[in-house]
Amino acid sequence: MMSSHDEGHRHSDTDGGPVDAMDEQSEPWRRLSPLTVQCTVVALAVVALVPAVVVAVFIAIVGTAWPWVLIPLGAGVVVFGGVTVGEALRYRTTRYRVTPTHFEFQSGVFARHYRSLRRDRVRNVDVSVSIFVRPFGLCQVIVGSGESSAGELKVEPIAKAEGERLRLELLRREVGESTDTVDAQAHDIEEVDPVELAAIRPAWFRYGVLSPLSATAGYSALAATLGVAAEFVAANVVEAAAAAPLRVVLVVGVFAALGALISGAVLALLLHMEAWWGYRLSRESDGTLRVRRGLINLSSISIEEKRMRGIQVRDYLPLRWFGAASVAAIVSGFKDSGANTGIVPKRTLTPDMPRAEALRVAASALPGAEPATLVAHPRAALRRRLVRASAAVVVIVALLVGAAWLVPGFPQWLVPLLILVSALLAYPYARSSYRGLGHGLSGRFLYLRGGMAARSTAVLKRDAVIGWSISQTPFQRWSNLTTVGAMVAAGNGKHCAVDTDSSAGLALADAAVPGLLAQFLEPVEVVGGGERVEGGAGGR
Amino acid sequence: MAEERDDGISVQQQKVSPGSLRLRPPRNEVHRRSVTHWTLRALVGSVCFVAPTLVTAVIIQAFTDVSWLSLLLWIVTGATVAASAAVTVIMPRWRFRVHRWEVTGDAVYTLSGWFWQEWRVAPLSRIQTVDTHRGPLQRPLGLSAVIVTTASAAGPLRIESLDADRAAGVAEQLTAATQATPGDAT
Repeated sequence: MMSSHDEGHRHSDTDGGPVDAMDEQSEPWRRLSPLTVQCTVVALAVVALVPAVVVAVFIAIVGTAWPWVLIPLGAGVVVFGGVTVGEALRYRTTRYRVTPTHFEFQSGVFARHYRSLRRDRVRNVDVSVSIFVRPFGLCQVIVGSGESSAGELKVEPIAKAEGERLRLELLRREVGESTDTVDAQAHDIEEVDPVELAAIRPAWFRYGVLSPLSATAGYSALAATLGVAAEFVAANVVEAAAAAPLRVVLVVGVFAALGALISGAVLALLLHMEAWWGYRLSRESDGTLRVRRGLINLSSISIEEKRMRGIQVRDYLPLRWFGAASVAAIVSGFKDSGANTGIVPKRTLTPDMPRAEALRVAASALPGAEPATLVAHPRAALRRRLVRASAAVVVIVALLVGAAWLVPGFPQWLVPLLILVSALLAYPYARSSYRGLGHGLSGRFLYLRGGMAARSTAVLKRDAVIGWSISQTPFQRWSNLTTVGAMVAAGNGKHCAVDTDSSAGLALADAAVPGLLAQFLEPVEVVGGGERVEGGAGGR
Repeated sequence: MAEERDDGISVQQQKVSPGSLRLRPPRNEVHRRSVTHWTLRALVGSVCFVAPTLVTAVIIQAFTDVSWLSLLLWIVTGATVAASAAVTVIMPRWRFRVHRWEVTGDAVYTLSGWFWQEWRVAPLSRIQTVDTHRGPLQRPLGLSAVIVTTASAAGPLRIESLDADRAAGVAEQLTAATQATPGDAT
């Protein structure tokens, strides 16, 4: 239990965190880094005070009455003071320690929280270094049991060496080992060096321009900035455009659009580079895969191999057209939200890289998973998608005709043009969506593939499948198709082979987990003349 | 015969002949009174569905003069009433014909749905909890649902609905069977 003696003898531990006086019976409680308050002061100065001063100066220049200048300044000072005092209190009241069986954490200024996590329930220990703590040599450690992001314990900021020590200790499984710091360091020496599985190549950064997440972030940041600027610029621009000849307006417009596009692309590229700078994927000696990356905010994510249920090779558009793919892990107990990983979800193992390289990394991350030949889904699945595409085009035609008929000023030439465009988009989309379907079984793994823009191949360990969900809509029943879903204890729980032939899907499920489905399967005999006779128990 | 596709995956035709396998339905039916339960649920749903359009139509009719708008709204209301009535009449009986459940020595197997149907199979070794659940409409009918969860986030297996005593018995039987199976079921 808690054994701090405030007036006791305090000394700095060699690892950088002050330790309260030792009680013979129990482990010492550790505190956060003494640089916590300094670090907060610097962060706030940048985040709160500088903008406040800038706004105040701006107001002063614009020339409104001087009392208004006090408002942003006052707000900045209040925020600065409040957060600094809060952090100082947090530093005084937060403690943690690692016992042979538990990780214990005390926090809370007004309401005291005592949390303990059993060490064999620790699923992930992630170390991240944000830009604000870097100059001080500190880091943040997030310990999770995988249940929810609310169940995570955040220890921040502590010294980098202490963070690394904590990470190694918590991921170590041998409960009953001495947890004394000196002994732990001695243990590190005999551990095997981590095996590096992948490292970033600068040439891969170019994929950041089109990578869905970074491109979205980049272009939306640009859109937000332009939106703000538009307020100021719009009135002047419209006047000038009305006065200038059409050619000039067109040329300027084209250049402006190009400029916006290029700026968005550059922003996306920069975000991508910041996220994946120095990327390394390694297999550590304690049975985890470790992903390290980051330029401004460093992050290190550890994924226990025991908890990995499979991997996912993502061939997302538009990078698929350029031959790039990325790999994500299918891990139990991993919630994507939580730790500050910015634009990259936590379970991503690799950045966008050339496809062959992605497959190589996937095979080394999940030993035994080789690219396999998959089984195509029947043509009936293609027919379904084409029918859906046609239905979409019909709806668009109806809407356009209705609009052209009811709305007085509607440009009539727009109707056939839009119909043509939607047909040109819908049918190839349907075809490509069909080509993305596939399933297979090879060695210890089950392969499930699907999707069009977000196409991915899920490679699941066969013994990670904990149930089946086989569903059928009336249209599928008509075409003898079903959707076979493999339930796993990871992510959103189910990976599907959509629109597979009923018998092929059932055969796949039966072969993947032998003995589970077989007791419920019945052969259907085809008697000469095409009539079907049901075998087995004779129907109902 | 393997063919290459645009992203480098090689693909072959299926080796299982189409139409050669099927899943037999589980052996046990759910309780007959479930039909009443589903009908009541559909009625409640219909009211929630129809009420907004009906109220809007009445208000537009009474307080404004836009004849084409109120006509449109009455048509929409009529359509929703017809659709809800059809579902309330057809769905419970159809569901009763589809819903089935079965517990074997090593697995739980359910078939549920009406228009869309879903077969769920879970091995006993992967079951984490077994609960019975009685909603406000099930209680007066003496019905109870059995809910079997696994470690998958995609949702539990549900047996809806059995007679309350039967449901309790099934839950007990399942709990005993899963306790006898070792492992932490992930």
